[in-house]
Amino acid sequence: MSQHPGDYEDFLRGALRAAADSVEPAGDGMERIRARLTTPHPLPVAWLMAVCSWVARHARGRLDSVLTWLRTVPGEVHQRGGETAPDGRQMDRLRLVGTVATVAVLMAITVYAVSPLGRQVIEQAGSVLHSIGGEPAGGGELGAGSNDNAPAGGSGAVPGAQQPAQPASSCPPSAPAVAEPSASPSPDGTSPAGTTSPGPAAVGTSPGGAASTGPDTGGATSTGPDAAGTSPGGAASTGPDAGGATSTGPDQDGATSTGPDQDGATSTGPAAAGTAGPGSPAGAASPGPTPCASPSASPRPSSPGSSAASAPPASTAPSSAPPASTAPAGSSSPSTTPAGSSSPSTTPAGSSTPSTTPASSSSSGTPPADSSPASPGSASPPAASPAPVTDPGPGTGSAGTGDSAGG
Amino acid sequence: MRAADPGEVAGQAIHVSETLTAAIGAVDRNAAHATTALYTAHYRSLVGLAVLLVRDASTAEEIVQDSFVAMHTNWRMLRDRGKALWYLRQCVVNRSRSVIRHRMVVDRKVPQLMPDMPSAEQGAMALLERSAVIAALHGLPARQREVLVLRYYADMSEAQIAAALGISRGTVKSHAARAITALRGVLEREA
Repeated sequence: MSQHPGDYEDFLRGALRAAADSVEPAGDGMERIRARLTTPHPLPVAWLMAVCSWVARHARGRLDSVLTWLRTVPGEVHQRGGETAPDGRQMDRLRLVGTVATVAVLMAITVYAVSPLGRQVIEQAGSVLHSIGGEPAGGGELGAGSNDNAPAGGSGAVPGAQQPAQPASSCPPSAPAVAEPSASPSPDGTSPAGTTSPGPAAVGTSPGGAASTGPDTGGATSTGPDAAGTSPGGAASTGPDAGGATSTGPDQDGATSTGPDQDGATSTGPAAAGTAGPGSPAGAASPGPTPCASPSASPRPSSPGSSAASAPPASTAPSSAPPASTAPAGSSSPSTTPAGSSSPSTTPAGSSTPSTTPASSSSSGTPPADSSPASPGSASPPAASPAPVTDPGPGTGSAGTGDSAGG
Repeated sequence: MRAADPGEVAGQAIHVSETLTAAIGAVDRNAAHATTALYTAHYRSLVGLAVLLVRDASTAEEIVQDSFVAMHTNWRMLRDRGKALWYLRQCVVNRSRSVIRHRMVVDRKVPQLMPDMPSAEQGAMALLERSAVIAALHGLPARQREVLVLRYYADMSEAQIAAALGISRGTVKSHAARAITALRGVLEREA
């Protein structure tokens, strides 16, 4: 081959191209990428950052005070008299001990916060404090399904609304249930988490709308006032609905979604009552046992535009709200809507429906397997996003329509 | 010092959550769109690049998919979004090298198959091996092969190759020259 170097390079280039082009990649590459991207996001970034910032701020202040005190000690010793000769070594030792102790405490706090157990405890504490202090909840981590994956509440149809306040979207899939009442055990045992929540959060929704966060699978049941219309029934039954108990949006349009449940129970009432759309199997108002339900549901005055957080007296924090509306499946009592709820909120499961939530997680409220786009009864279309990559979003939570909502 | 107000802490957490969620949501959407666009335009060529390096189609696809996932995951850290393709290529090259390295270790430990047992990989690569050039290419040392593939298939400049492989430009030149010389020798012998 006595070709010109340039020709030889072209020849080599052509051969390489031909060889590479002969390889036909499988057609499901995008699906595989999407599957890998939709793994749950493990890190509750928001809580971690908040705690860390709080710890850093307060620790710095305390450290300053300690240092100030340490600086004053030598002076005091001096002032106490010359008979007690100021021992420089002692002072140094004292300072050293103080510094070491402070650093040790800081490290312990940090390690505790970073470790999963610590995070869990912090989340629990946060939710409890929320419920006690009546502070806004919705402290969602970025966990499950940020805007993108939460079709209704998450991506928010209201442009101006602050998306982030999606309640359930913040639930990390792996996060344990946080001091929430477990989902009502249905008598027949068929209704896992999706049935009518015992939790006040379930029906104790705001008059404006249900900020209730469903215990739904991915925890991406973020709903908001703007969530209305996402579900066929008019209710913003969003989320995986695997549990069928996705929270509903306030449905500001006032549409009363009568969603015939799978089992025949028609969940009637204004959408604020948390009626589920026809898509939701059990049509149950969202129970509260979502791990992050309590933080997310309570209204946050500072974010008026936010979807769920703006729901006025939601107070879905289970601990703060009366344990009413624990209408387990089978009980005929209408859900006792807490005061302020403008809607009668006929709890679907309160009706005779045994609330057979199909794919819902167990009634223990454990965060179920995430994103099951094609979960039965899901009001949102399963992964109808045109974009191949449904936003991997930290969470998988929602029914996978996230990116489609986001464009 | 004032005791920490738990409600305040929770409020801060919520605020951070809202801000981050909004920001991350927007960024993720961008990343999703970019990933989709890159996949549509370059997935096949990247698989080809990986195949030339690792000689295994399925492994090559895995590598490319992992690279896409990595790019999407680290989208926020990309300073220049316009260089996403470059990032992908480098990712593919690095992962291919890791695979090759791993194979070398595994091959040392695993007993060799019987010669009369063609593996699935051999079958899949049969078409590829038909090309004498490719056969000669795979006879080259790994570094020379990488340089040639990046140079003549990925159309990367010497500087880019040097950056991708973590070597100097001069080394790239020398590798390329030696590889071409060796390749030419092999092909001339066969001819």
